[in-house]
Formats: sequence, structure tokens, C-alpha cells
Amino acid sequence: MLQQHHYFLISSLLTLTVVAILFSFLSGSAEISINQVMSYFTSPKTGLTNQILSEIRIPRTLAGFAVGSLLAMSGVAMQVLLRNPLADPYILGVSGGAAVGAISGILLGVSSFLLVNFAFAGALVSTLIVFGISSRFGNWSVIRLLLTGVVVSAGLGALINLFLTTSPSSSVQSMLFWLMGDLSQSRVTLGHFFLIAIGLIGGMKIARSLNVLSRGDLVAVSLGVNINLLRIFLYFSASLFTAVAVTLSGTVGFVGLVTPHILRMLGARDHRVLIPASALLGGSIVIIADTLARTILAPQQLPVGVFTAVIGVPCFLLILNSSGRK
Amino acid sequence: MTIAQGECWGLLGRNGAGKTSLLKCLAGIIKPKEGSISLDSVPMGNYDRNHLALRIGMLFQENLSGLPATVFETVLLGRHPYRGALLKDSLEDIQIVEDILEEVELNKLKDRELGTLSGGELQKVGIALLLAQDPDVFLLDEPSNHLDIAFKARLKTILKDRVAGKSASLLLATHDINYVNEFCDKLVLLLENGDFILGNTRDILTEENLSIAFNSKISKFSNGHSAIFFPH
Repeated sequence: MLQQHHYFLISSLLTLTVVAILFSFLSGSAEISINQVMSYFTSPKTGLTNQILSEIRIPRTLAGFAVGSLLAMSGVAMQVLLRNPLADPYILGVSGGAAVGAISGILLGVSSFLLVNFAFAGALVSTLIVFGISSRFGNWSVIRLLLTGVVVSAGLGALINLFLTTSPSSSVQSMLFWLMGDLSQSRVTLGHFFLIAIGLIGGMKIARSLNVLSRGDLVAVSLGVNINLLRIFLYFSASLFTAVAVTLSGTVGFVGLVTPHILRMLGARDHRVLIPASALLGGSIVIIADTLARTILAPQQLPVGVFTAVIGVPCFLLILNSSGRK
Repeated sequence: MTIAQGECWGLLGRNGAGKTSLLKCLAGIIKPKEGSISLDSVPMGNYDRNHLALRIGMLFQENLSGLPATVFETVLLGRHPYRGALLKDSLEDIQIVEDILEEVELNKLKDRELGTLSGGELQKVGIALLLAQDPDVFLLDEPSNHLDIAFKARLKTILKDRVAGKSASLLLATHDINYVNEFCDKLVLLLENGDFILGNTRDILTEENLSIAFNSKISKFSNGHSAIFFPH
């Protein structure tokens, strides 16, 4: 049921998002003041400060938001699909597929533009393999899907390790990019935000059905939900979102798992709230994590994936602890 | 076999006799291997899923808990087939759920997480969900599971009132002979090898029939008004 505190939660998250974006705009090796940020948006865009904003900080911040939003929404979808709170966007092998695709590309020496396509193709192929195997005999059970996904992931993981240990050490660094998550090479486009918008609109349209599906397949069917169609939709949209996110930034861990949990513990169990709230919180977490990752040991830049866990783990444990005491 | 409006039927048989499968067929969740099922003389396959959800509701034995939700949120899902507005829950639906929670004595637990409930309380949530769905055909799979004796009796009253009030139909599957004996006017008794007998409960529930169905000597103790059955 939608209540007053849900509207409060969404407004708080909107505020958090704005704060996170400003924090990211203002942080970095070059000093930029809030007035300079304001004047960037109101007056002609010339000068070094404006160049730093338009070419480095704004694209990177937007990329962080896009990655976090996509992963968090994908996490929600996977958790409902598998009816398991431990599911994350990578559980069915999408990230492994993307990494194998990218690493093959690096070994073949393709350009960075083509590399992205290799990663995306790898993610889609692993998605189709998992879906094909798990639905081949017509019985599309959750356990079967989960088992197939986990086994395929393990296989891809082994393949990645094989590549890493046998590749020349000069290319290992760029391979690690795909495994740890890094926003420094990300090229965010309008298309990414278009996808987020589609995710939000589509998610809101099926939100009520997701509430029902969370209570189990049988109840969902008897309450009129077309669960086969819904699950195929969930599977492919979650995989697409994850593939796009991984292609943008490599494997940023933890956001997709922990964001829906934090929100559920804050009372957002209804998917009509959980989906938009996840998009906002996931985006904010990655922006904040990336800002810390690139400033805390400056000029050294750390992979953002490390910091999503550094922020996510204590937040999660804190909320878990306080909600357990209630 | 026909279940008419206003009738309460029992479906009695041993564990694994196929009671749940039959109910799932009747609910349109699985297709029967042979034979056909019609609702209002129209074959089940001709109805779309959402229309069936408005007409037929089922209480399952499966656990409702999984991803976190409160009792109130869960029972409100029973109103799903009625397709409310996307963002707003109708005040009418909320009132219906409040009344049902009162009726099944869950109102004090309405903000509790499903994961913190006892087996009997979870069973009540499932029953409340079905009552919120308010179908014309009630299918109940082992409704008395985990319930205490007082609430078992109360459940019988609640459901019989519903069935009488809106000329609904009810089919209750159980292995509990005494519960169908108190509850149902008509009965299907599943025997070995897919055989069954059906008729008025009081004609079917004989020591002889039950001993065959349960493959064990069942005795009846009667004081003229009511009877109880027990194994030898």
C-alpha cells in the first residue's frame, strides 16, 4: 500500500541524488566552486573550469548514475524472478559473459569502441545460453534457472581466470577493468537514460504484478498474473540492463544486491515504490562511491567497484542491525 | 460431477491421492490429462487468466513468505484481479481488507512481517487473501492446517456464511474426516487407483467406505446428532 512515508522516502532520495551529483561535480584535483557549477548551467560554456565540467566530471557523474540505476533495477527484477533476496544482477552469468567477451576482444587487439560491442555480445550470449538450457524442457522452474545460471557463471569465471593467467602481463591491467568496475573509460549517452526511463515506466506498469509474484507462482497465477510472460520479460530486461551497465563500466559489484535490500528495510516493499527508489539510490551510491574512489588517494584513481562495497557493506549492516532490533 | 451454487463439497482422500492436483485443475492452473472442466458450462480454456481470477480463488499449501511483506500488504494482493489505479489503492479495497483482517482475527498483526508469523498465523493470512479475492468458487487445499480448534470452527462459519451470502461454491480438500463431516453437505471420497465415490456426506462417510479409502480400519462414534471418526 502506498503511504505518506513512501512519498517522503522518494523525496529524500531525490534530494540525496542531487547532493551526490553536486558532490561529484565539486570534487577532484581541480577546485571548482558551487558558483562555477551554477554559472556553467546558466552562462556560455568557455574556460578551463567549464571544460573540466563538460568533458570530465559531468559525463562521469552521469555514467555513474546510469550504471547504479540500471544495476539496482536489475537487482530488483532478479530478486523477484528468483524469489530470492540473495539474487543480484550477476547471478545468472551476465557479467561473466561480458567479461569473457571483453577479454577475448583485448586478446584479439580490437579497438576500444569495438571492445564495448564484444562485451555486450558476450553478455547477451551468456543470457541466451542460460535461458535456452533452463527452459529447454518446458519446465521453467526457478531452481532450474538459478542452478543453470550459477553453473554457467562458474564456467565463465574459470575461463576468465584461464585468460588472466595465460595473457601477457601488459594486457592484464585492461582486463582487470572489466572485472573490478571503473568509470574512467565510460562513454555515457542519451540512450542509457532512455533505457532507464523505459525501465521506470515499464517497471511501474508491472509493479503490481511483481508484488503478487513475490508471494509465489501459484498465488500469482490464481490472482490472474500471466507468470510465464512476466518472468521472461523480467529475465530479459534484467539481463539487458545488466549487460548495458557492465558494458559501460565493467562489473561494479554490490549495488544491485544491496540497494533493494536497504530500501526494503526502509519500508519500500511495494514495487511501485521500490523500483523508482532503487533507480535513485543505486545511482546515488555509485556516484558517491566513484567520487570517493577518484579523490581519496588522488592522484591515484581506485576502481569504483571497490568503493561500492566499502560504502554498501557498512550501510547495509547498520540498517540490518537497527531493523532487527525493532 | 457438478458443483452447484451455494454448495459446500468436501474432497477426502489419503496423502498423495491427488487432491491438490484436482484442485489445481479446477483452478485452471494445470490442465487435466483426461476429461474436461467447465465453469458456467463454458470450458475453462475459453476464459482468460484475469477473468478466472475474478471467479475462482484457491487457498494453497505453499508458503506465502519469501521476499519481505507485511500481513496487510499481502492480504491486499487479493484485490489484484479487480485492477485498481496504478498508484492509488482504492479506499474501498483497503476497507475490505481491514474488515477481513478483523474477521479472521489478524487485525493486531496487520503490520507484522510474514517471516515472523507462526504456521497458524500464516495460514490465516492465506485464508484472508482468498477472502479478499472474494471469488464465486472457493477451492481450499487443507484449510485446517496449523489452525487451532477454535479457529477451525470459526473458519467453517466464516466460509459457510460467504458461500450462502453470495451463492458461491466451495470445494475443500483434506485428509481430516471429521472436518469434512462437520463442514460439507456433499463429498467426493478418493479410493485406490483413481476410483472415487461421491454423494451426500452422511451417505458416503461409512466405516466401510473409509476403511477402504484409507486402507486402515476406521470406526465411527455417534451420539445421534454428531459423529466422530477415529482409526482403530
